[in-house]
Amino acid sequence: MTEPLTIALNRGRILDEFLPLLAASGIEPDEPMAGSRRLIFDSKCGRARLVVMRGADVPTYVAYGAADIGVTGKDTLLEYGGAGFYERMDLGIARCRIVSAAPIGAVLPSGRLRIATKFVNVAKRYYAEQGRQVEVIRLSGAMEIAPLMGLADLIVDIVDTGNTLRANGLEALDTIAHISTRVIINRASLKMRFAEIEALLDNLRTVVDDSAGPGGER
Amino acid sequence: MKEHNWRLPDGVEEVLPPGARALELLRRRVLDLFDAWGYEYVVPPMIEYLDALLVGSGSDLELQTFRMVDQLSGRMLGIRADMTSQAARIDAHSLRTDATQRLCYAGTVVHANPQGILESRVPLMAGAEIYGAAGLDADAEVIVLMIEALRLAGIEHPVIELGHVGIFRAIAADAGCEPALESALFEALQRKSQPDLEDQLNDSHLDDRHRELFTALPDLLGSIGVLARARKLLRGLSEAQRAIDELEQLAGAIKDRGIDQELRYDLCELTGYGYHAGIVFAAYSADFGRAIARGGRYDAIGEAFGRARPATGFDLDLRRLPAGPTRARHAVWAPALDGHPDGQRSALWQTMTQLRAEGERVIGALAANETAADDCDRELVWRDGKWRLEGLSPGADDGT
Repeated sequence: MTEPLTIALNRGRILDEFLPLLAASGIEPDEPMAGSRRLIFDSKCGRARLVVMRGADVPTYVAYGAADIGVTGKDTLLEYGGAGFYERMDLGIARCRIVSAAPIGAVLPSGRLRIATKFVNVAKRYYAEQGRQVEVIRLSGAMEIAPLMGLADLIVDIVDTGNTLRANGLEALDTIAHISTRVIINRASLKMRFAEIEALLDNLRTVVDDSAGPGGER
Repeated sequence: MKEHNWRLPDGVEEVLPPGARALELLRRRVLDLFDAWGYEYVVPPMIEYLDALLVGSGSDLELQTFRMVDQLSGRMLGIRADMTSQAARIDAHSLRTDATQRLCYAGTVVHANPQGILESRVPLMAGAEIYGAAGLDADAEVIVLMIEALRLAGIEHPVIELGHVGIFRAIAADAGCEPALESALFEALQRKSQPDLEDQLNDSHLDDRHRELFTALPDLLGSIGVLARARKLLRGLSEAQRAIDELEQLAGAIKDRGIDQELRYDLCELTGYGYHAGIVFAAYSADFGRAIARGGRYDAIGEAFGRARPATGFDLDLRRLPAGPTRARHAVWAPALDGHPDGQRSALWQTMTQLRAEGERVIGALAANETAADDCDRELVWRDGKWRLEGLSPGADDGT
């Protein structure tokens, strides 16, 4: 039980915004993560081990129990599905949306829509709920190109400011989901190490509430 | 593709020596334990008519069940994905009685989808079920039996968690949730996701009191103090209060049976309990990312077979468990019969037969120049007109 808690972290924007919160709740990596090539860091306090990885891999590590705790975007969780872990907390950071988007003024075909996305499951689920037949094309990045090159009618993607869409002549249509960063916990870890994990979450909640303050949007 | 035709499908694995023997020994020890507690062993069939297999089960089990057409009857067959419902069918039809009936089983089930990352699709499930006993003593008995079975696998102090499916149902019924909302809330609660729960509730017509109850559910986990918190929170909901009473009494009944470890509670654990209604329980251990054994009450399932009987029990996947302590192997090496004079040959065979009857593992050489198998620590040697056992050091030259 003295083994440190393993926390899987989504590298990139989420990591940058999360580390200050984690530091404020008492967990700091033993060397600065920025500029380091290491992927596994011990914490100064010895209570945690921080592992940096791609966001899409965080649910996998946590579901299997290789990591006790994971920090990643709701977009990843929606795409992965909910099995194997608990989603205990909304950190409220790295907010954005999953939207559908098409070239400005485009007239969509009335039949089967072709949709380019990396959120294949999210797109399928959404259009099924809308009652539309769609063909989903899996792409791994730069989704904006697909409708411009005639590969797809629509894209389903993450949008923050909307600048990339506009720069490529696209406009957002439907908001499919609001996204923020979530803390997920392996099911068995929550049972086995309840006190440690709840203490960590309580600290994080305090920090998040303080930093969100009255300016925190919902 | 020809060169890969030895591959096994995803999630399907074979068990090889020495693990296979260890697994079989664990299976025997577990079945001996069930037998010592008076549970009758049953061997349900691997395939059944699909509607019989899926009776009373949730949609989870339906998705897990491989199916095919029976060429004899034209009906759909299913390969069992779970043996509990088979045991319930046996209780309701094959072994009809009004008395309490204890049944146990151990066998491979087949899952169309793995239950998690790197999970086997062919788990070896062992389980014990009690039919016809409605009281909490039955639940306490199967929980303690589950702990004993885990002990056989060397898991000394599993975390035991108790829950009650009735609490969520009581709140949903009291709030008058329509089915769509109830299943959306159920889904969010399975993930204990307060943010998603709040989203669902904000879009609903529920009043503040019921919203508060639902959002509080994910926090109702921990040690015994949870029950007092829940009791206060769920004031006025008589069904929920009764569920909490049951949990309290069950904890006492478990303690009476010599289990003095601290029990954990999770009042909104709803995952993996397809046909359960009422008390549910699970065992967790370090190094396992999910429950290693689970069970609970499923009184309703017999009704689907035309005969409602109180039912409770548990099962566990023997393949996921450590095989427990295994003794080092010892074996006797016997030289090949061929190459020995007549009298020695028959005497050698007699000696080998006698040693085997005494429980020794005796491996006979099939050719005169064959080296002793690795686990042989003794050999049969012809000395002074008799075949005698002599020590054989590992890796030494074969006997003279």
